[in-house]
Amino acid sequence: MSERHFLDVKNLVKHFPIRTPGIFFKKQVGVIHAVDGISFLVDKGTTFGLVGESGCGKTSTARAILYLDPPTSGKTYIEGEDVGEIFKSKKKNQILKLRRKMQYVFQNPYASLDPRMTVADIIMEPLMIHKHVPKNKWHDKLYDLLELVGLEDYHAERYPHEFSGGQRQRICIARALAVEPELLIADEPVASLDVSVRAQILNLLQELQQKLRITYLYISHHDLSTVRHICHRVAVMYLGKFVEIAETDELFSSPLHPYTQALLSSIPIPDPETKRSRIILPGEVPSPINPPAGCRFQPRCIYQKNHRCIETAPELTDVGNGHLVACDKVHN
Amino acid sequence: MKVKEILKIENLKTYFDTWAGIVRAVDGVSLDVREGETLGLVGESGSGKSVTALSILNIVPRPGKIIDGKIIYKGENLLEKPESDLQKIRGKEIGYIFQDPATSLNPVFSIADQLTEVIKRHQIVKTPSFRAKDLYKLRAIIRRRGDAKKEILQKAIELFKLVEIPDPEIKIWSYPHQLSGGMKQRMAVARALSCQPSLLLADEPTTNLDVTIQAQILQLMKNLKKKLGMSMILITHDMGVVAGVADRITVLYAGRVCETADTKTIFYKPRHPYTMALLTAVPSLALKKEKLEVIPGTIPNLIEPPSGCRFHPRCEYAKPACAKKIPPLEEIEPGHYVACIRASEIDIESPLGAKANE
Repeated sequence: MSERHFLDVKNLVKHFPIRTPGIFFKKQVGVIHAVDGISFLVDKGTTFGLVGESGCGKTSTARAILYLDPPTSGKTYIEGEDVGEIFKSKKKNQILKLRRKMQYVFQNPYASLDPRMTVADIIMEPLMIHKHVPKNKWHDKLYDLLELVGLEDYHAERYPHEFSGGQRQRICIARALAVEPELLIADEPVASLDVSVRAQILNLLQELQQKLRITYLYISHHDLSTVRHICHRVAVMYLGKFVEIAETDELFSSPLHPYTQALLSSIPIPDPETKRSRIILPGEVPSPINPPAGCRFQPRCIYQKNHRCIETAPELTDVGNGHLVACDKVHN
Repeated sequence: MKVKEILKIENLKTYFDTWAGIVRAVDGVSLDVREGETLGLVGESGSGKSVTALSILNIVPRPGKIIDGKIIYKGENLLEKPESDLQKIRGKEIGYIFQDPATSLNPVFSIADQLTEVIKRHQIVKTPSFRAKDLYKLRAIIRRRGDAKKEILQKAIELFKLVEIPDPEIKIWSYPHQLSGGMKQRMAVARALSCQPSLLLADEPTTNLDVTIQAQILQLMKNLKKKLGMSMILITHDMGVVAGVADRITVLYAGRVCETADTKTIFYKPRHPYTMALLTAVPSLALKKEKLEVIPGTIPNLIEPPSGCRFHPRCEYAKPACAKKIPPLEEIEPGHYVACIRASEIDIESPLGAKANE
């Protein structure tokens, strides 16, 4: 592609080996196909949504992109730079520089803050490591960040247990923003929060994007209405593979893949009058240790299967407007 | 004709006496459940939904204590009953689906053990007992007990079939960690239904599940309710879930009832500002909004709750009078109860109502 994309993920694969328990001989008995060859592009200043049921590999994808878990194969480029190469070169300066570009807001705000550090320690730790702000400005930066995420100055001296879930999530966001990142991976940032707090955090994320032009990778499994609200482009994931990628409005108004259709139809709508034909999928997500042959969705698909569904895995193909679908039925 | 109420809660007060002070978790909740209906209990976390449900069965964990109020189930006040009578009601008359199936199942017992425990406890299948004078019939009793055991297991397998778990004969011998979240939730539903209760308390039965599994469980509960003809209290914070399942809704805020009405009225003609705020804070699939409405502030500390109406510090319609008097729950239309002194003055338009008029 001629134009430069901010984030370019090419054929990313992440497998986790399963080993037998043992002291001297650990035999590998299988492999969990967490992520199995996904590619996508994200433009600067936009939000890319990653949607799918739990266990489909969303978090593994995010961690592999950030090189928190090195991917099995595949490449990630951030503004044209190969992330894998930089990490393999083991040049500390370059790795730090790259880490500054990409930050992570973890799933659970109750588990991702050190209970023995005050908020000031937590938020200033990245400043100490990256040293991109002179030491005499650290406190100014701290108070700026607190203000940015809507916390008060006196909160700086407190410990995480003194805060509610929504406030903790704000601390996590402030910590991630301390290094002025260009890419922020938000892994279900509102999953454990109440509706009113959820609205506050979502508005905050949107404001920050407008102000600082951050690119988001937004991961969610619960809350598709939130995804619709915040994302520009959405990818639907099923068992380690993308089944559909499209612009948000297009995806929500005309989903093409049977899994996306089922997923969207099962979102409860807060309106008692709306009567919808709900597609209820039979069964559960199969194990990623032995994923089904052919199309991975095929055992739960409500459409009539043909031999191609069972034999060959469908490729993501463009059906116009940048709407990519991986289903044989749609193409024919 | 008068509608028959299966459960009526009057002015329930459950307090937790902690070292920091008394937490008024439930402070004067009144509600009723009619026969065969589903009541949705909605509110943010910390609004007292779960404590209300736990109070019904008098299983509030320490230091929680029911201070005042009446819980009338089928004409009898459960709070005046002795513990031994309550044990006969728990599980048999009133089933309970606990909030998190991953933590409410015992990891060291198999599913079969945990499911048959309820059936054995309530003697749905009679198990003959040994007595010294019957010693000469020992072999017959052992045989009969063996038969009863088989019958109980058969019953458990039937329940598994009822909640649509595949391969029930094999799955019943598994342990909780071997099951997925959706399976555990089905197991919890099966356990609650094992004695065919006439009232089911479902505490956030689908909160931690994926949307496709959530749709399966909700459909299942709806079908079972129709099949067995029970009443249900569905506790949730998801307005989308109650919209599809509940017949009537009670909105709780900080331990008090804000509004009770049938589902349509709550969604299209809410009279309480808090109900309204709950509706507008949810991102909607149908209406794309630029910015979400935010309820300012956070849920109050229940050790020292705000005076008067508990919502007034966050309410955009608040007047000085709101801080002085506790608003009573008044019936403004038949079957529509609101606790707001300005309910008749302020004009609230539902975002959904506006859409319906267009």
